[in-house]
Amino acid sequence: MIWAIAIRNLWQHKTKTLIIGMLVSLGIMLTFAGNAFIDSMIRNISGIFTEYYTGDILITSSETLGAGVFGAQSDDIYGPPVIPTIKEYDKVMGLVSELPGVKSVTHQLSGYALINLEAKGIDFSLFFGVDAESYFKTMTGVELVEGRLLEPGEEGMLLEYDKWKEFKEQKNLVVKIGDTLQLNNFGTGGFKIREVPVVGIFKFPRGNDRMFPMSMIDAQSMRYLLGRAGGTSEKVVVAKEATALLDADLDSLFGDDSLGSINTGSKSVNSANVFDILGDKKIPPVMETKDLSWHFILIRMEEGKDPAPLIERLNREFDEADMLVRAQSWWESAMPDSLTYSGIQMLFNIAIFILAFVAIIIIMNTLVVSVMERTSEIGTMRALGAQKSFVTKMFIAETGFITLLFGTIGLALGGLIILILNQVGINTDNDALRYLGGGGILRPTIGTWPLILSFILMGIIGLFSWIYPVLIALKVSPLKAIASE
Amino acid sequence: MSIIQLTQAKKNYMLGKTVVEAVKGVDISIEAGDFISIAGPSGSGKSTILNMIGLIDTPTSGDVIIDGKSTALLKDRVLTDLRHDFIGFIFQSFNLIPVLTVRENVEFPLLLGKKPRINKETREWIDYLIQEVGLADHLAHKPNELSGGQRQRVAIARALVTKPQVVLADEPTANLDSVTGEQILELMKKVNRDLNTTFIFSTHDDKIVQIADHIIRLKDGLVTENTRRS
Repeated sequence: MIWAIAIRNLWQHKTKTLIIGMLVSLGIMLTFAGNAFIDSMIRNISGIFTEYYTGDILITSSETLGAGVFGAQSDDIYGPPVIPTIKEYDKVMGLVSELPGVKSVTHQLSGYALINLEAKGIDFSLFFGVDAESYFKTMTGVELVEGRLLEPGEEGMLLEYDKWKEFKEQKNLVVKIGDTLQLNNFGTGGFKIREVPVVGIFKFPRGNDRMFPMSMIDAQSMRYLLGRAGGTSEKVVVAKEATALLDADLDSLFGDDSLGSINTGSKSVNSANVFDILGDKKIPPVMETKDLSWHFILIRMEEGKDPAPLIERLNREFDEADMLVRAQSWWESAMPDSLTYSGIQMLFNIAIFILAFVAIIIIMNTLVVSVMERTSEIGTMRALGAQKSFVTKMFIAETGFITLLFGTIGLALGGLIILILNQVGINTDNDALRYLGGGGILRPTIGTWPLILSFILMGIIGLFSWIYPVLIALKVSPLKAIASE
Repeated sequence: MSIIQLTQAKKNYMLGKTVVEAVKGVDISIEAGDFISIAGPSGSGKSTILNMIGLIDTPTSGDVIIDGKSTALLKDRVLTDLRHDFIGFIFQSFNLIPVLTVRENVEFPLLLGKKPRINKETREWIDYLIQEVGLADHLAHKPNELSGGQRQRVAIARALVTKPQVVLADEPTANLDSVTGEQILELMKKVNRDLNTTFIFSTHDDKIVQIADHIIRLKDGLVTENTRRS
């Protein structure tokens, strides 16, 4: 009969019930659909990151606060963050080789370099230094627009399509396959210059707009630019022309036309031919060494395998062996981007919980008014022998019914919205959504976590909205039955 | 044998900073099967005495003894159970639960006890009571679909459903016309005779006082007459 009284009371005050119910439905619908959308967005992004950038597991040095494929966090205020290389690489690979469910493994370097476009200026760009053989087997997301992929051991560069387009449209420079581009880097290894041929232009079929679109170069060139591969196994013969500057009159180097009339013995040096005189800018073959100076080891799991237990296992083994490396998920590796996504989700849920708080206050207020209107009824019940627990149950039944009924309606509406969006698809190929949505058509699906979160929200509304009204109802004396009307 | 006793019961109220003495030390003894009228003008203390007997108000001093036991130190839970098991209430404004039907209103007190009991026997008892108060054709009606007299009949059936030893009726005819009021009193008298249920009703109408076989008159919070008719 408690339920009968509760439901009929709600029915008797249809307008109030409807207002409260709509608020509950709206909150639950937004929680469900919104989180499903954000979850789908993160799943999409997760797919992009694991397939294109970070793999399922990324192993990096633990000497920094944090490092991902796009850079490192550092507490060193005197210089830019430097990604440390993996120490005891062989030992790490030994542990990795014992992991079950691994599909493929590759390694990678990350670094920034200036692309010297000569008369067209310079361009600052992020580069992934890769071992072509394993990289393209592991990171399967690359789509060639023109040219070909890097061959194993080949020195060269794959230019990112957006970068190529930027050169073409903004700098009026059309980079063709076979052209060489000069890359400069000034870092801990000093000033480095490197020319590499462009072997291909690529893009990711899906992909979020990154602040610095990254291109790919062979690992050896990357090491050289980062100042990590200076050693050589061959005797280097420097042409006489290349050392001519060393014999020049020092004062003439600082004249108005410092390079205008230096006699190199065979021909004069000027600003137009100085780089030619410097000779071959390719680095000599690098010494084969066991220390391959990788920043990252990237692991892809077999389809459907959860990387989390393996990350835990690897980190335990690294700790036990006192190794200065750590394994991390795509989420940590995608910092700071992933923080943006979790920040968005957190802000969204804070907004939802504020809405829930408002809903609770409105429900409370309405129920308090209801208690005041029903003091005679409550007093009568108490006079007839209703314990306080009965009155409590009656109000819990009312709030419980509202929350359950309208929460379910909210869930159904949220589910419907998700299903419609899933069928229609959300095109994220625009400036606003590409970064967040990952590009392509986003199709939200009904996920477990949004469902759980919606039930939690329903629980919170159901649990808290009756407390204050009940406290007031319990103060109603049976005497109110006599004093009524 | 007394089933209810008020011994030197006093009740004071605070009206702002003024103490109002509603009942000024009353001794009343009520026997099983009595049909009692507590009469007196407005403000004489009738309702306060009924409230104390009904355990919905406590005396400022003195005691209310129910079935030989003092109720002075009982907790709210025990008092509630005692109200449920021992006393039935009929209110001046009927106080039916508006969202429940006639049958559900009558049934309602049975769901409030320590062991809510609805079985074949109780269902037959509910039917009997509804039949007795003449509302068998109105089982599914809500209170707002009934007349004042019909509502008070429902209230009588509800008051009797737990088979209480005492039924308290606070001015049960005040909101009814004289004919309906008389019918209600006749009904109460019939139940009193048939079920030997003790009835205590308050009234300020001297005409209906005469139906009682035990009259207690009050004035300014004191008993001025306590007459038992044979």
